[in-house]
Amino acid sequence: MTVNSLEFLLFFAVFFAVYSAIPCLGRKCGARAGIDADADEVRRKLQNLWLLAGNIVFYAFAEPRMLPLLGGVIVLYWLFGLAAGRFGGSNERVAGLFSAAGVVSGIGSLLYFKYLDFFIESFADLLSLFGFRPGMHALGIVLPVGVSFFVFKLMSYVIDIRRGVIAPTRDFISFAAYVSFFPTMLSGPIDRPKAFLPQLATLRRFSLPMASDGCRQILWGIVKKMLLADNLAVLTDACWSDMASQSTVSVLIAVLVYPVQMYMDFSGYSDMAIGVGKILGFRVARNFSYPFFARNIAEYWRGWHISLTSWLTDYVFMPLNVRFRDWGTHGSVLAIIITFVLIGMWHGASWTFLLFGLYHGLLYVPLMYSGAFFRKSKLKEGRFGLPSASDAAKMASTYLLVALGLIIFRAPSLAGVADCFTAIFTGAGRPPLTFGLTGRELVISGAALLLSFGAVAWEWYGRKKEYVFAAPSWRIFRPRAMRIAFYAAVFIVVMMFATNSNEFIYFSF
Amino acid sequence: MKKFITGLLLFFLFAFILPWAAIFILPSDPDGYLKAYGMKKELASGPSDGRILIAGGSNAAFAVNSRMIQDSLGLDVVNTSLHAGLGFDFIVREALEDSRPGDIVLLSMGLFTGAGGGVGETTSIPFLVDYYPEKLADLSPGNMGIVIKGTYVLLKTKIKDLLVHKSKSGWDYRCSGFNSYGDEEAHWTAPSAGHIEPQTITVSPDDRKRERCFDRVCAMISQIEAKGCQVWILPPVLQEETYEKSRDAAVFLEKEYARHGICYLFPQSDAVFGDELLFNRPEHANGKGVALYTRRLIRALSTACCRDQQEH
Amino acid sequence: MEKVEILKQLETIFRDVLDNEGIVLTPQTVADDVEEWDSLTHIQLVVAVEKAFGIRFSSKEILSWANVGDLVDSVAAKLC
Repeated sequence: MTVNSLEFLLFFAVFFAVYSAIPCLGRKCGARAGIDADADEVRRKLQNLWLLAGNIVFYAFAEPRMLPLLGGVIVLYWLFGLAAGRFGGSNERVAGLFSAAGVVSGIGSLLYFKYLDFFIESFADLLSLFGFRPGMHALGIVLPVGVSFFVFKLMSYVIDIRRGVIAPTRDFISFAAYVSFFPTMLSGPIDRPKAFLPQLATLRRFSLPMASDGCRQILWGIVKKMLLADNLAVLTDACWSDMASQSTVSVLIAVLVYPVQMYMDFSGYSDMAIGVGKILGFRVARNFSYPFFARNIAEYWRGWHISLTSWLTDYVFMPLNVRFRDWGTHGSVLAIIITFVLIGMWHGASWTFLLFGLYHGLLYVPLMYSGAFFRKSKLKEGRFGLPSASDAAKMASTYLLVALGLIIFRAPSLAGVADCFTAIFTGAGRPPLTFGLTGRELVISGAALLLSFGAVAWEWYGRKKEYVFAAPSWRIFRPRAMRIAFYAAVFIVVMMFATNSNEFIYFSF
Repeated sequence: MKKFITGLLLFFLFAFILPWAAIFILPSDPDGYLKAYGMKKELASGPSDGRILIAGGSNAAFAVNSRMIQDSLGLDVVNTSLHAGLGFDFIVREALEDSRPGDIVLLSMGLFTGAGGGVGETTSIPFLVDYYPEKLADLSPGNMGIVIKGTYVLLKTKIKDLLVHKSKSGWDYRCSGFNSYGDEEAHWTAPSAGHIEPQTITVSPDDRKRERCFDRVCAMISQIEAKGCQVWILPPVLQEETYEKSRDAAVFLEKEYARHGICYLFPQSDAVFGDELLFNRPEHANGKGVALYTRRLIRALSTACCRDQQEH
Repeated sequence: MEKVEILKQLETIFRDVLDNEGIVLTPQTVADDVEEWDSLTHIQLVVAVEKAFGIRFSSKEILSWANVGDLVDSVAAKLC
């Protein structure tokens, strides 16, 4: 069940009722934390156990058959971590073996679940190019839900132990709760053990400011995902499903709109996940930081899907860069390209994702050789607090590069990419700007587009904050009841104009 | 913590209770299609002496001339079919309630039957509850969820109807379009669309949710039979091109019914019509189509009745 | 070489590579504290340090540094 569903609401209500009651069980509990450390330790363990139970129920809802697998890998990696820690001081080689075993298992399982069928089919296609007709079929391997996320968490655990960044944890319940954490299981963000395990090591007492902030962030995610992204998707999906009959203008609009749609969709869901985490007293990793205010592609990737890119930077780019350091800038360029091909392929087993990654890696090349990369300057504000003309031009060109890359990402196949470009340059067929939609759908999508511009502008003015959404600071909204009425009104408007589709773009990763 | 709970309750009040208050205060369409549910319920509760009870989606409401059946077979006919969007679960539940021993129950659902687990749609169930709030208590848990989910669609529709006065065209369905048997007869004399855009309805081969839905609902159908009724499936009217494109879905349906031992009254292929026999949708027959479909129904029923009298 | 001296020399190297005369290093300094210091400039710094002291670090060492202090310790260990 996705976070913005009725089923999740019911599940979370029950879960949270118990979760928040645990810190108050027994004697001597209350606002003064630490008054009875022993009792708190028991409560902490109970709270983590309840969290683990919630994770299991949540995962069972999505994919009960894969629960044993999830449980199995959690146990395996917990043991790998303990072993690497045990031998860390005395026998470096053995310790290293356990870490390596963790990395290899992780890569192996990802290769198996995500890419084996792709390799088989591609290999068969290759052979058939030469006239062979191998009787190979894809195995029909079922992708376990969340595999791309929890395997990454597990690998970073063993690697960080090896690097001495963290110590292995003896607390199996905490470790299991971390890996299977339900708010971020389906679509991330990917939390690092260093930032997350310590949070499980303390009892989480209910915090009104944090929980209220979380609720607000969830609502903002709902606005972005259900009101904006889903309605923009009506337009882009209509264009992509029937590319051959679209006009040039329609295709260009769909291409230019798609980055905004992706941003609203994915950052919206991340906001929901982070918000749920906050209600539970957890600080989840940030995933987006206003990527459209980036003036070059490097800045863009520092603000887009941060938890994934930072993971690949720390565990792929850095080691590669260190290994290639004798080749100077060439070495760094190679490391970047490899890293981005992997970022592309993480999204799925397809040539388009590989090409997408390669495209972005190559975009770094001019930046790195020109040295412009390393000079970071503050964003200058021009008139009305808007970006200066040169900054705005850079943002626009970065946006265009991103939109271009997303054509490759969105296309159903490599042929689909070609179809899109064909449609742009020779677009005939339907009259422009209809997209094959009804008038009503066009109005709603158009309104969603305008609102998205508004949202982005709002984010520009609030770019120093974690997220911009809040009731206006007018006098009428000073009383709490009025602020809540404002949020309820926003919620009602979103629900009235949300579409029925409920799948996120990143859901099947 | 207390502040948080009160905050949430306040939010719930503003975001959910108030909209429902508005829904009940705002006027409903006096001639809305789903309003016909009340009239049909009354028809079904009348005296029964071995009658024909037709239940299902709009395809059955638009495909049958009950008077013709009554005249030919000498049996009373009640057509309770209304809207497939009410969901397989709801429709069969109602048929179970309405049927009396000795009834011949003809069930007619479209190709989307069972999708989504058999619950209704947010554009139907909540609207029905708006007209007949007492129905809320009878709904399955799944449909209760649909009512909650459909709150805002319903609210939006009612506000829009209030602000924008749209006069109904010949193709807008109305409560007043039904005759005293429960057939939609306004479309028998209305002009047809001519060409109708074909639909492609697909079904995933391993749809366990749908199979479980059929298990549940067919168990209810068995209960109808246990009451002393005969139950047959009426194949839905289908446009030729739509049928061609949606073969898999049609075959899936036949397989599911057969798995539970429920028979079609006549084969699906006898309900496949060209555009000249259709009204405005691939599954709505026009006046000519109604006549043809009804004749086929009568023929099949008289044969089946004879055969069944020998079997039972 | 004393660790204080190493730190001073590192400061010069950092200022040169990152093109910022205002950089001040302490043993507790981390990459987040210095604006120009990120995953790409990091490797340039490493190469510059290796060249300046005539030493060679292992990959494991480089990836295990948590702050400037760790770097100083690694340099000191190599120089003995």
